[in-house]
Amino acid sequence: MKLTRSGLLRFLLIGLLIVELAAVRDAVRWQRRPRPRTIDLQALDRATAGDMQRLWRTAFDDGGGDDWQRLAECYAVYGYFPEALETCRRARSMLRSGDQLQPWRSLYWEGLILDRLGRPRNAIEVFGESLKVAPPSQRPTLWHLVGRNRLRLEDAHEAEVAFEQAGDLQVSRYERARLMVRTGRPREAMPILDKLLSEDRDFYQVHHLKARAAEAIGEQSVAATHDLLAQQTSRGLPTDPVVEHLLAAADRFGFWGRLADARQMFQGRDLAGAIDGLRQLIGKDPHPAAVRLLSNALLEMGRFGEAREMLGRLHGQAAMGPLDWLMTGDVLERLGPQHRDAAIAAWERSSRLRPTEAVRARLLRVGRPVPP
Amino acid sequence: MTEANSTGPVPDPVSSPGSWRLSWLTTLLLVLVVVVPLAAWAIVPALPGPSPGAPLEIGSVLTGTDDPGWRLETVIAAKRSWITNVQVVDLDGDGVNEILACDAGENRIVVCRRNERSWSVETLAEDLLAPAHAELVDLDGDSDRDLVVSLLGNIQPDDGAVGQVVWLERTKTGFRRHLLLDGVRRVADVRCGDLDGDGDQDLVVAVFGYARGEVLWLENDGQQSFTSHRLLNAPGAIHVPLADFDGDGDLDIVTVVSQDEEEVWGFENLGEGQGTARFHARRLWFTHNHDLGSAGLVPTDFDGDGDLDLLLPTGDNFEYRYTYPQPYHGCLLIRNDGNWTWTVEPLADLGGTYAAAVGEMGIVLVSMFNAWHHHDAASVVLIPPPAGGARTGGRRVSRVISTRPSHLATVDCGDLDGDGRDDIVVGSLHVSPPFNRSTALAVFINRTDSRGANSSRGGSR
Repeated sequence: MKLTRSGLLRFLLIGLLIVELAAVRDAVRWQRRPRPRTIDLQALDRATAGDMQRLWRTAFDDGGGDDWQRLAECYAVYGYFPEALETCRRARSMLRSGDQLQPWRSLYWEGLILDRLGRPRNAIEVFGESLKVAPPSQRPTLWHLVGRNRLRLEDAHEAEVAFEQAGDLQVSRYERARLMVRTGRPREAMPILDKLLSEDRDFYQVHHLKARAAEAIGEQSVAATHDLLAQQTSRGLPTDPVVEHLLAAADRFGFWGRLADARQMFQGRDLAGAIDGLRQLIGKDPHPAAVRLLSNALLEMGRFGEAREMLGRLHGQAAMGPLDWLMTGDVLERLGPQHRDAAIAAWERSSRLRPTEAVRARLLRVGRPVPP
Repeated sequence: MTEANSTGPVPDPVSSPGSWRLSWLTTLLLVLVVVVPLAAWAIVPALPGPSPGAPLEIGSVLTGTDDPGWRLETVIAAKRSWITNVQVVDLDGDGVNEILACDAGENRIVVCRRNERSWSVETLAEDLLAPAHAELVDLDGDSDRDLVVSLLGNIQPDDGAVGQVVWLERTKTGFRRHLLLDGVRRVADVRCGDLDGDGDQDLVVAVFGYARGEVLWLENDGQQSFTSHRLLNAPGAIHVPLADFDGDGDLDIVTVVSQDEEEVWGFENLGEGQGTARFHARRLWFTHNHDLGSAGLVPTDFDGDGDLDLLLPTGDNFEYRYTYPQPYHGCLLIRNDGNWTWTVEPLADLGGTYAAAVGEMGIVLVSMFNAWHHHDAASVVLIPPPAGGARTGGRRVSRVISTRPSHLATVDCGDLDGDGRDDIVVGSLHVSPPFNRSTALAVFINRTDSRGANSSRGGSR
């Protein structure tokens, strides 16, 4: 059959129309693609707002599970739990090939978010789902989180079962012992506490709990010994993994991330890098932690005028504590003899608040009386 | 004439040189090829996005609107403040109430007086590192009112020996400062009373600490020299109110512990014995939920049966950088059933509750750790007294008084404008943003029509 020119044209037009309609379909889909929840960026500092906007745009433009999950985690660590919950759930439905997101990890985050949202029952369910697909190395933590949420529901028995499932996790064993002491079974708690102390004698909570258990079973001398040890030991067992996790995760995003970077630079003596980074964090309403670190970095760099100006910004933003006044005195002293009296006044203020060795030494050096 | 009616072979319009007449189909296709992208270009961007689906799960956020019956007055304005305690007191004994406030942001104690149209703020003492509570008492028996102040030494978590108890002795020109207790961890509260019946004022001290802490009673030798006795070894004691809880005529002590454990303890004054042996310690209540966030302890005769019950505000979330209301936040009633037996029941819900106070209009709760991103999250609520003085317990429906200021850590009730009705004073402790409805210290002047029946008043945070 011979195709006439007219037929050929129609054929081409139909082909073109099909291509156009497909493009329109894609455009409509694009237009109606899932849109992550937005939050009021005006309420945030510049660094955090910028990060959130970028993560939102990435997730919205062509985001897969990883991008949505990252946005959910950012929302969560900055306290936007309702938005984080929805975004986290959506992340699992957006998974595509090449995404790194593992379902157990997304479920773990959803559990944390539900925990903070005040939904312990739902959190337990979701941690349970996560347990089904989590690698063995993650299961103790998940069981611990189940136990913690059982406690929040005052379900002591189920909590104890969950902590037992967490196996060797130190904090879970501690929680089990704590439950035993609290529910009138101090003798059962003793071997667990002894084992914990044999592994690490430096956790004050364990000594404190052993003192309580010993007191409950009438072993007063043991109680007294561990009371004393509780006073003398210096380390704490991290007992709230949710707090720990959220604090650590915050260092990946926004203000807290930049501050952590700057702190690292400061500790690594990259003072110029720290100052540059911190300058970007100081807006109209700077966070005292950023102001303090920047003042310190400027002082160490010998930029005393800028350090003084920065310390001045602490007023009205935070309580001026003894260390702030000490630093103010140090900065003023280095600005020259004309600021000597002001420096001494700042040190005296520091001393009145808390007479530390550092401020005593400075006051002695300039011949001022120091409190006993 | 249509093509169908024409006769003879239909000429191919395209193949006919010089003739570009198109068939209707071709024309239609051409039109569509042009119109479809144009229409898409115009319409698609205007298409609505997908429906947001289910509303956001916002959890236990109590929302409301500001009650016009309470007029908000700013006493100290600030975007960030650390007011740790407010009390309505008659500091100078002239029959007019003032506000006594501990300002840990400025490390000072202030008194605020209401003038005709404004408030004046006077600093009574400064360079007090993170004051948490000030007790108005005649400590040395010279018939004037001194202040005994508990100093945290650091409002942030700190396990060092940074706490102090300071006596501000009233003089003709101001206050003379004496250090009564030093070398202890953070001190959250100090209360005064004659615990050993020798006629002088002894002290009870809540050493909150952080990882470690204790409750002490300090025995006065009559010359304001004190001997310390430990009543409890536990971190996180917040308040140590004194009262005769068992009706035997002497002062007993209660405290709430909020760090490793969430417990309420009672220390019965036995009326005899020395030091620690003078008191019998009992754990009155505990919960397995160590996320509860006990935030204070306020004695009041809630049920009007002649003995003192306890209000336990719950909602402390200091450990979290960004907080959110939990379903168990609010206020618990610990009812005194006599003979050191107590029953506990939930009284009201309010996310992030940090303090409670009792006024003639009922119990006022304030929220510090709320979802302040929600513009209508409640910051002050009122639990009206039970109707007809009913003594039944159970969870009450609270009334929102206001949604601002936010981040309220402390509250007290008392008549501040001289109209004989209790007003409300609140103080803010700003930890995490947003700070877009901030005030350091504010007062709600009572302009409501109703007066509550329950006029019993207890302590305050």
